[in-house]
Amino acid sequence: MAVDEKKLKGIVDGIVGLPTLPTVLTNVTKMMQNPRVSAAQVGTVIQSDVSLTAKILKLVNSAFYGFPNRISTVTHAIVILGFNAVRSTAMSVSVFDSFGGGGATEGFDRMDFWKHSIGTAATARILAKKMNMKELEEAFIAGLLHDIGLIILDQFVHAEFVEILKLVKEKDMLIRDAEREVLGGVTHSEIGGWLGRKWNMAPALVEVIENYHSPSTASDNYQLSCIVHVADLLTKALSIGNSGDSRMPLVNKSAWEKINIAMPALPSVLQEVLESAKKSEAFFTMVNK
Amino acid sequence: MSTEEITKLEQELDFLQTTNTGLRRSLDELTILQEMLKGISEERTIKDIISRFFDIIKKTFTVKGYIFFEKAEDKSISPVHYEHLTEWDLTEKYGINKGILEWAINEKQISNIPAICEGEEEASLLMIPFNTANKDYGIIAIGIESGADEALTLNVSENLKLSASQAATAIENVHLYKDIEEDKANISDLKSLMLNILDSLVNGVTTIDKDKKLVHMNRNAYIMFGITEEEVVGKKYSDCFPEQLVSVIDFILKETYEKGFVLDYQVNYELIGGVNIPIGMSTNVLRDDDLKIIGVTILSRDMTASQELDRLRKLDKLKSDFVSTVSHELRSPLTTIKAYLDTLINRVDEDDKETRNMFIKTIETEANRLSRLIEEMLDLSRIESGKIQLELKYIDLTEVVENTVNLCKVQSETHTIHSDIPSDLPKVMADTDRLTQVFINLLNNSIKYSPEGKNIWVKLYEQENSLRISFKDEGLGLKSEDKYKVFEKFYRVDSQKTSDIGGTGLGLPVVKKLVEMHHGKIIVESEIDKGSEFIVVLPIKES
Repeated sequence: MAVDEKKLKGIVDGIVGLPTLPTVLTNVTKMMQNPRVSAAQVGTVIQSDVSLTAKILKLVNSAFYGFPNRISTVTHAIVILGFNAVRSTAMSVSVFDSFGGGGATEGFDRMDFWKHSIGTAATARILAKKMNMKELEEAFIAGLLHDIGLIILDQFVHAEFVEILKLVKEKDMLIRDAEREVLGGVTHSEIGGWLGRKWNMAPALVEVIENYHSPSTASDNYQLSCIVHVADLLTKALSIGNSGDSRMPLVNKSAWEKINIAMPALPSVLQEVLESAKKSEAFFTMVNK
Repeated sequence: MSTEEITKLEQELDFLQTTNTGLRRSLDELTILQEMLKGISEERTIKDIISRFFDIIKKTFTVKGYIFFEKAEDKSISPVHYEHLTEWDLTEKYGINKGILEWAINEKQISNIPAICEGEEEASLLMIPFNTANKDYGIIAIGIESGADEALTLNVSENLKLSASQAATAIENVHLYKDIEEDKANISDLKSLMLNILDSLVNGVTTIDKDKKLVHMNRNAYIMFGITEEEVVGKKYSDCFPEQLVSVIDFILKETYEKGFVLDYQVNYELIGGVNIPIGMSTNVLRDDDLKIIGVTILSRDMTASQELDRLRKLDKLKSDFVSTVSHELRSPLTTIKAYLDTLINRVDEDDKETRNMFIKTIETEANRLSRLIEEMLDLSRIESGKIQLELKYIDLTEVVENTVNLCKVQSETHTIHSDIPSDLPKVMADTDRLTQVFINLLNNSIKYSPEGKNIWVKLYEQENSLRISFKDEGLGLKSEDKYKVFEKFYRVDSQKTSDIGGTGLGLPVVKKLVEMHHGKIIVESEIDKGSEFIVVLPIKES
C-alpha cells in the first residue's frame, strides 16, 4: 500500500520537541563503522556517560544475558557479549530514557506497551538464534522498536491517537485499520520508520519497523521482518504486555513458514519465550524511572 | 567558515580516513582468511579441523595453546584435543569454568575473557563456539598473548565468526561422513545377516524377477538345483539352469502369475551328481512397498523326509491293520471250533456216531487251519526279523519238485497234474525243506483255485542262467491289479468264486520271502477266468 508521503509529512511536521539520541550512542554507531575499532575504544566512549554505563552494566549482568560471572566494565561487556550486544543495551536504555515515562491514555498503557515491546525483542532474539542468524542484537532492537510509532502518536499526535483508540474500542478494529481511517492512510509503521531515519538507525531496522506487519513487502530484510512479525504475534498470543490491539492480527503464512517452527516444537518455543520475557525484566525496570 | 566549523570538518575527515583505512585493511585480511579457510573443509578428522583452525588464529594472534571441548549428545562437554593449554590454566589464569564454556556454547557467543592473575594483563582467552544451524559441536578456548581490551576488534570478531562457522560446517561434514559410513556398514552388516539367514534355511529360496532374471538364490537352492556356476544372479534362469529345471520353472511361474501361488509342486529332479531327490516347490509373488508385483519367490523343499514320514505313517497303518486282521483270522477258526465243540458236548447224542464224526472232522479241519495260520505267521515274522537261516546245499531240484508233485497228487484226485521234470539240470544252492515248502504252497494254490477236473502243469527248466519251476493252471486267474497284490500279507482276492476257498492270506507272502532269500524271484502270468502261472526263478550260481 503506497504511503501518502504528503499526509505523513503533514503529521510529522506537527511534531515538536522530539527527543534526540544521546551523542554517545551516535558516536558509538559511527565508531563501529570502522572494523578495526577495539573494545577498549568503544568502552572508553560509553564510559564517558556515567548514567548510561551504570544502566548498561546492570543489563549485561542481568539474567537476560546470563553470563555466569560478573562483568565489571563496559569494555569487558564488549569482549564477552560482543559489540552489538552492548550497543543494543545502550540503544534500549536511550529509548527508555526518551520515551519511558508519560501519562496513561485510555486504552493505551505505556507500561503494557513496553512490556510487549521488550517481550517481542526477547522473542525475536530467540527466533534469530534458532535460525542461526549472526545478528541476534539487531533482532532484539528491531523487536524492541517495532511499534515505536505508537509512542510517537501517543506523545505528539495525541488527539488523533485518542480518536484511533476510540475507534478500536467501539468498532472492534485492529489499531492499524483505525489509524488508516483517522490519519488518512498513515499508520504507526510509517511514523516509526520516520523516527528511525531521523535517529540514523541502520536501514535494516527502519525497513523492519515499516514492514513487519506484512513482511512480504520488505525487500532487503525479509528474514528479519518475518522474525519480528512472528515474535510480535507470539508475544501477543502469550499476553505479554499490550500494544493497543484487543484482537489478534492474522499470521502471515509465508513468514510463519520462514521461521519454520514445527507444530510439535511450538509448546517448547512458547515456554522459552515466557522464560525469556521473565529474564528481560531488567530492561523493564529501566522504563519507569 | 568559522574556525570551529573547520575544526569539526577536519575531525570528520580524520574519522573518515581512519575508517577507510580500517575497511581497506579488513578487506585484505578477509581475503587472506578466505584463502586459509578453504582448506579447512577438506580435513577429514575433527582433530585436523581444530588444528587447522588454530593455525588460522596463529596468523592473527600470538597464541599460547588451545583446548577443544566437545559437546556430547547428553549436552555435557569434555576436553578432547589440547595443545599447550590445560583445564587448570583455564580456571587459574582466566577464571573460566565449565559453566562459562557452556554459556558461550548455548549463547553461540564468541567471547574474549581477560586473564585474572597478576602480570598477565597482556593475556586473554578467546572462547569460540562451533555450531551450525543444526547442532552445537563444542567450543575451542585459545590462550592469546594480547589483552582482551585491544585484541577483539570488531573486525577480528567478525572474522572469527566467519572462521568458526566454516570450521563448524567442516565438523558437521565429518560427522555426516561418519554417519554415512556407519549407515553403510550397518546396511552391509544387515545385508550379510539377511543373506546368512537365507543360507541357513534348510529350504532352497530362489527369487526371479518379472524379466525372468535371477534376483537371488540361497545356498540350498544352488545345491538342490545342482547349480555349480558361481554367479547366476542377474542372468535369465533359462540361460543357466538345466533344461528339465527350466521347463519346471516355466510352468510354476506361469501358475504363480495366474493364481498368485503354487503349493508343493512335486518334482523328481535329478541333480548333477545323479541323485534323484523329490523336491516340492511352493511359490508366492514378490511385491514391492507399493504392493506392485516385481517377481516370484520359489521355496524348494527336499521332500525325502516328508515322504519317509509318509511311508512310516503307512507302515504304522499296516501294522494296526495287521493286528486287526490277525486277530480276526485267528478268531474265525477258533469260533468255529468252539461252536462245534459246544454242540458236540451238549446237543449231539453220544450214540450218534455219524454226526459226532462229522463234527470232529470239522473241528480237526479248523484246528489244522489255525495251526497252519499260526505256523505261517510265525514263519513270516521269523523271515522278516531275519531269524530264519537257510541250510544251503547244492541240491538237485528234480527230486524236490517230484516229491512235491507226489505229495499233492494225493490231496486231489480230481485234477490232472502234468509234470515235465528233466533230471539233467544243474544243481542249485538251496535249502531243500524251504523250497519244498514253497513248491507245495504254490501247487496247492493251483489246485485250490482250479475247478475240479482241470489240468495243472508243473515244469522244471533252465533259462537265462536260472532254473525255473512253473506251476500253471486253468483256474480262476487274477485280475491284472491283483497279480502282485497277492503277495501282500492277508490279501485275499475278493470275489464270490474265492469266498468258499479257505486260505490264510499268508501263504504267498511267505513263498515270496523264501524265494527272495534264495536270491530268486517269482513271475506271475495270469488272465482272469483262464488261469494263472507262477514261475519260481532261482539263479544258477557258478560253483
